[in-house]
Amino acid sequence: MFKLRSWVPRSRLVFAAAALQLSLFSSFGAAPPSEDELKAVFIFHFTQFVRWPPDSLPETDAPFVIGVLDDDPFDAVLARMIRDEKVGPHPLELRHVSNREQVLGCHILYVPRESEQKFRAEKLQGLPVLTVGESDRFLLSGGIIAFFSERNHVGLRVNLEAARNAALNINAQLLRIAQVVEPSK
Amino acid sequence: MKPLSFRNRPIAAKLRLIIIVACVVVTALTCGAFVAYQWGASRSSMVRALTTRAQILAFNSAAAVAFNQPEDAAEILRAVQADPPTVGVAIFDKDGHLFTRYTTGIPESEIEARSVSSPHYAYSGGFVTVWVPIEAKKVRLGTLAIKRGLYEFYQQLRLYLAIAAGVMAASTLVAYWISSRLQRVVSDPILSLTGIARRVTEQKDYAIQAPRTSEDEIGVLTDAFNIMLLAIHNSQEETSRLYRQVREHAADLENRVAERTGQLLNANQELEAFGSSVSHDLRGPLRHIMGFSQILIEDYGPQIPKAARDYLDKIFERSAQMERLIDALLEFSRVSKQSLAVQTIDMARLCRKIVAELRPDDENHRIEVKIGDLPPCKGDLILIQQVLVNLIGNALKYSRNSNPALIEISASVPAGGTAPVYSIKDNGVGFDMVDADKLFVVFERLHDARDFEGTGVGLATAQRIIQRHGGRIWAESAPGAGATFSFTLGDPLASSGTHAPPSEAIPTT
Repeated sequence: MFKLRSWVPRSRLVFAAAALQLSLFSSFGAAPPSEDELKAVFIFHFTQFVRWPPDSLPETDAPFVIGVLDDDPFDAVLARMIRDEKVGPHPLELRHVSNREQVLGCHILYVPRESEQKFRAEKLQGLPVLTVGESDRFLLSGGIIAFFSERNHVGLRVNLEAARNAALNINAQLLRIAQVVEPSK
Repeated sequence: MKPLSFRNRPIAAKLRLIIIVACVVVTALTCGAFVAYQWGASRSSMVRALTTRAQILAFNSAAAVAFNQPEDAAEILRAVQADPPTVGVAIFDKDGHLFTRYTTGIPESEIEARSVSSPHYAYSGGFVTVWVPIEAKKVRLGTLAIKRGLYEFYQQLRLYLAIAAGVMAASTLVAYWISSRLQRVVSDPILSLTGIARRVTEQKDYAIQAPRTSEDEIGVLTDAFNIMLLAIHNSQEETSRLYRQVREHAADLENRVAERTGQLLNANQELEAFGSSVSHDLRGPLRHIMGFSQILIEDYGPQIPKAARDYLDKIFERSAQMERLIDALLEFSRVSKQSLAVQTIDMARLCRKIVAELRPDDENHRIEVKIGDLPPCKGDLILIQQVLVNLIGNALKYSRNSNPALIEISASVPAGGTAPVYSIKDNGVGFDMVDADKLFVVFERLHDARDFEGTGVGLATAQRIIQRHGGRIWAESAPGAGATFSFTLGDPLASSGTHAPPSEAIPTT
């Protein structure tokens, strides 16, 4: 199963963001994270396991935008999690969105359970926006990733078809730990 | 028997041992370097492989860690089952808390939590642990640690050591075999040289020559040895030749000495016989001269004129003196021939007796004689007495014009000498040291017979006696300052044949 390979260059591994590591979880302390905190971390990690098309971030200093549809208590947690974080060279930015125009500037759109009714995937057809929701219904209506809770465990479900439609490439490792849903079959 | 030290072992054994030791040391160093290199190289290659494996696991489990799926991560980790020496794998989150792990359950599978940003490894008690970071897009998610046993490496090390021991044993045997043959090249010529040296020493035969077998240092040594032997042989022959010559010369010399001694003895005996017979024969006519002179004086005295009578007196007087001279000469030659009767003599007592006999009875002439502490001597009593009579008599005679006459008889032992020196000192007229060598010659007189009567034979006789006792006599003086006569006595037996038993008895008159 394992093959001996040549020594892996360390420089690739060393370049870890120590500041990120500290700020991301320092607020947790010793207590186990809450469900909202877990979800906030997951949303940040999506930036590492999903590849957006290159033209969605044309400039090097353009912000990477995470949008939250309507007002939701969750955004406070999320705001705290991603404060001062970056995706590559792009600073993370949190926005509240309520209409399609606002959504168009987002790379990730979180749709709280209360706003799922309002979410229309068709309006985003073809746009490279990773939509994240809370239910299977959200997935079936064209959402790409949905959280689910089961035995005190937060899991992920992925609608691969929707991801392909949005021209988003989801890392195989993420798919390995997620449940893949394909509504059209 | 005490064990042979290396220094005393035979050369062959030394050479063999040196070659074997050199071989074994070189082999040991080579094997040691090889084993050490193999051990280090295989360990570091194992650590590299383990690090790669850990990095693959870290890469595969990144999503599981990022999205908090420990079961998924555990499943990924289970892959290490395929490598039995791996006793455990663990994933720690960013805060160092255990996220998930795979373990074989043994106590050693416990893994220490560490936070690393690049691969690290550590050895502990037969195990090695590698830590690598888990990252996604350069964001650190946690640490993966993998721990593996080193049994196989210890097994390998044991195998290497066993092989090394085998190689060393084999090389020792081979070295022994080779050295046993090769050392002969060096030791054989030395042994043959030693054998010849031993033969030379035991048989004292320096005519042997050692055969030369090689052109190296041993060849040079052999040449030098041969040259040395030749030199010894030659010098020995030369020595014995010289020795023979010396012996011949010595024998020749001895013969000549014996011959000359015989001649001398003959001459001496003839001379003495002549002297004694002349003296003896002279006495006959002398008696007639004296006898008839006396008859003339006694029977015809009144009829002879006064002048003729004076002449007759003179004839008688000089004839008497001639008789004394002849007696002295006879005495002198007797002293030379007479054998010695050696005994212990109390010199002080003898001197007192002689002084008492010789001292003149003259009220007007004061004579002081001091006799010191004289050690006894060994010699012929009669002859020694004659010497003392001569010397003391001379001292009294030549100091009779000194008033008072002082005569001192003493003895001293000179520093480093053994024989005492006896001295007779007077304050008489003395003599000039220029004439000292004439003193002891027969008929040589330093003073006119009209001043001091005497025969001129006394000191010659004394010297002859002292010489016969192996001693020496000499005199010191200056005109008018008195004279000192000294003598020593050697071993009288050295120059005399007969020996009288020592006697404490001193003959007194």
